[in-house]
Amino acid sequence: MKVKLKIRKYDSKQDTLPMYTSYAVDAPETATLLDCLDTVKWHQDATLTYRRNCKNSICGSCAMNVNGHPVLACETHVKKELAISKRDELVIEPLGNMPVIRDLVVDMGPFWDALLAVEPWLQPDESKVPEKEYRQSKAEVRMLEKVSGCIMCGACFGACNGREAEEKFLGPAALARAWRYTMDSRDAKQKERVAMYNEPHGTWDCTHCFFCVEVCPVHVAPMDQILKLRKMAMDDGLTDNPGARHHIGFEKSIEKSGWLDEVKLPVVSIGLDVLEQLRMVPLGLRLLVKGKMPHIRHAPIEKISEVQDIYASLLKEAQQKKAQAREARP
Amino acid sequence: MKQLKFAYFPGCVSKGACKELYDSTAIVARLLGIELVELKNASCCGAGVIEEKNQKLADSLNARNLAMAESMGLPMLTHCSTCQGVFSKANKKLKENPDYRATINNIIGHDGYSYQGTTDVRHLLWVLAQDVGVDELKRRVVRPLKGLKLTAFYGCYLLRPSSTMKFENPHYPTSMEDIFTALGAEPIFYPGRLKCCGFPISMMNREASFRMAGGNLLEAKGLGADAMVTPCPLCHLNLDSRQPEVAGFLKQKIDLPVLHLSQLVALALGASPKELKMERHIVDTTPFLHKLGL
Repeated sequence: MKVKLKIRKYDSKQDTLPMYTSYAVDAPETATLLDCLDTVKWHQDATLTYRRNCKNSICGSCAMNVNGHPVLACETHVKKELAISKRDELVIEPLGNMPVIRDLVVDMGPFWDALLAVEPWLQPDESKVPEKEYRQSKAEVRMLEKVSGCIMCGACFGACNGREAEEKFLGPAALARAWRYTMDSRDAKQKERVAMYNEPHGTWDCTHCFFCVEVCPVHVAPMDQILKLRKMAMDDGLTDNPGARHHIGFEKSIEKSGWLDEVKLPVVSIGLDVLEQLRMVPLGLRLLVKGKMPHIRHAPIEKISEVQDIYASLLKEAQQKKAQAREARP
Repeated sequence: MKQLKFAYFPGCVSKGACKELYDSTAIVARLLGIELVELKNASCCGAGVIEEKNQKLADSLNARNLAMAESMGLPMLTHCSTCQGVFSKANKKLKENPDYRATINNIIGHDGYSYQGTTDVRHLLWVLAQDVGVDELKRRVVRPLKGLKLTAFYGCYLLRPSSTMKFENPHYPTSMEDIFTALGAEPIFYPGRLKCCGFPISMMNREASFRMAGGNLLEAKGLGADAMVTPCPLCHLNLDSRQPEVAGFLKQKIDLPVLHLSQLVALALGASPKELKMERHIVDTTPFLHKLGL
C-alpha cells in the first residue's frame, strides 16, 4: 500500500515559518501512522521529529493531529483513516494550543501548568490520619477509574476550542483530574476544590464543543466531568456568576412559559454588572431595527401546566429525599 | 420521492430571535412536499443547560416531547443542531434503558404521557441529505447557486459525540457541502466548519466567545467565501447577530453573510429573498444575493 503523508515541518530554533513536506511510504495494509512515520524517519528524512515510546496506546507520547483532529499515531490505522476521510493523503500536524518545538513535538508546558493549577494530589484531613493506610471501597475506586485512566497525551487540550480562545482556561484534562480528586473519598477538600474550579477560567470557560470527549483515546470524557463540577458548585450555592445565573435563569424560564425567554435570560445572566449590561444595548437595538427582537411579552405555551407538573413532581421527589436523609442521620 | 411527514419541533430560537428560520423551513417543506405537523405544546429541549443542573428534569421534559411525536406515529424533525443533539442523547438513553424510561414515564404520566421509545428524531439537514437525497434536490433546483462559494458551519451538537451522533463521521462530515454542490454552489472546506461558534459561553466569557466566532468567520472569509451556512440557529446568533460586535472587538472587517440552511435550500428551489426574510439578517445579505442576480 502506498501512503501519502503531508507533514508540517518547523524548527523553532531556526525557521521563521512552517513548511509542509510530502512523503510517499510503502506500507503494509495493517500499518499504523506511527509505522509510517518511522519509515519516513529511518529511510527518507532523518530530521523528522516526533515523540514515540510504547506503541501501545499507554504512554500518550505520540499524540498529533491527523487531518485536523488529534489521534495517537500508534493506534491510528492508516488504511482506515484514509477510507473514512475519503482523501488520498493524510495531513500530519502537531497538536494545537501548545507551542511547537520541532515538527510534531510540542512544548507541553501549558498542559502541565494547567494540570498543576488544579492541585492534582490528595489532601486528606490531617487530624484524621488512619492507623494503617487510607482505605477505599471497591465502589469508590471504580467511580474514579475511568478518569484516573487519563494517559496525559494532551489530545483533549490540543483540540479544546475553549482553550484556543482563552489561554487562561484550565482546559479539559486538568479539570477532569480536578473532578477525580474532588470525588476521591480520601480527600477532605471537596468544598474548597469545587469553589476553586468555579473561579474565572475554570469550569465556566468550557464551551461544550465535545471535542475532548470525541478525541480522548481512553474515554475519560473530560467535558462530562467539567459539567459535574459546575453542578456541584451550583448545588453548593456558588451562584454569583454569569454561568450559574444563566443556568438557573434558563431552568426558571422553562418552568414559567415552557420555552426560553430570550429577552430576559441575557439580562438575568449578566446580573448587576452595569457595564456588561450596557454592552448588550447595541445588540438589542440591532435586533429591534431588523425585526429580530423576540416579543417582549413572552407568552407561555398553552399546556404550560403540564410542564409545571413535571417541575412540581421532581421538586416533591427532591424534598422527600432530603427529608429521608435527615431522618437517616443519627 | 417517498412521502415525508414529521412531527415538527421548531425550538425556541426559531420562534424568537431567528423567526426567519421558522418561515424558511416552512417554505422548504412546502417546496419539497414535506408535511410538517408542528408540536405546538412541546417544551424547550433544555439546550444541554437544564440537564447540567437537573438531568431528570431535562429527560422528563424531552420524554414528554418525544411522547407527543410518538402518539402521532411520526418521527420528529428539528432544524437546530443543539435541539437535535439534546434529543438524540435523551432518546438514546430512554430507548436503551427501560427501567429509566419507566421512572421518567412515572413523572410525565401525571398528565397522561408515556414514551415507549419508538420515535426517531431527525435534523432537517439529514432529511435533505438522505431522505430527500442530493440527487432529488438537484433535480428540484430552479435557481442554481452558480458562482457562489459557500462555507458550512455544522454546530457542535450535530456532530459530537459520535457515540450518540451517528449520521456521519464527526471529523469528516460532508452532508452540508454535498447539498451546496447539489444546489450548484462551490463548497469550501476549512477547519472552522467543525468548531464551536462560541455561543455557549457568550454570557460567561464574552471575549473568548467573540474570538471563537471571529476566528471561524475570518477563516471562511479569507478563503473567499460569499456566505457561511449553518443548520443551527444558536450558531447563527453568534455568527450573524453578534458579528458587528465580533468585528469591532477583533478590529477587523468581516461582513460575511450567514444563512440558515433552510434559507439556502429554499433560495435554490425558487423562493424569493423577501419570503425568506433575508433582510432581517444583521449582516447585509444583498452582496450575496446580487451574485445570484437578485
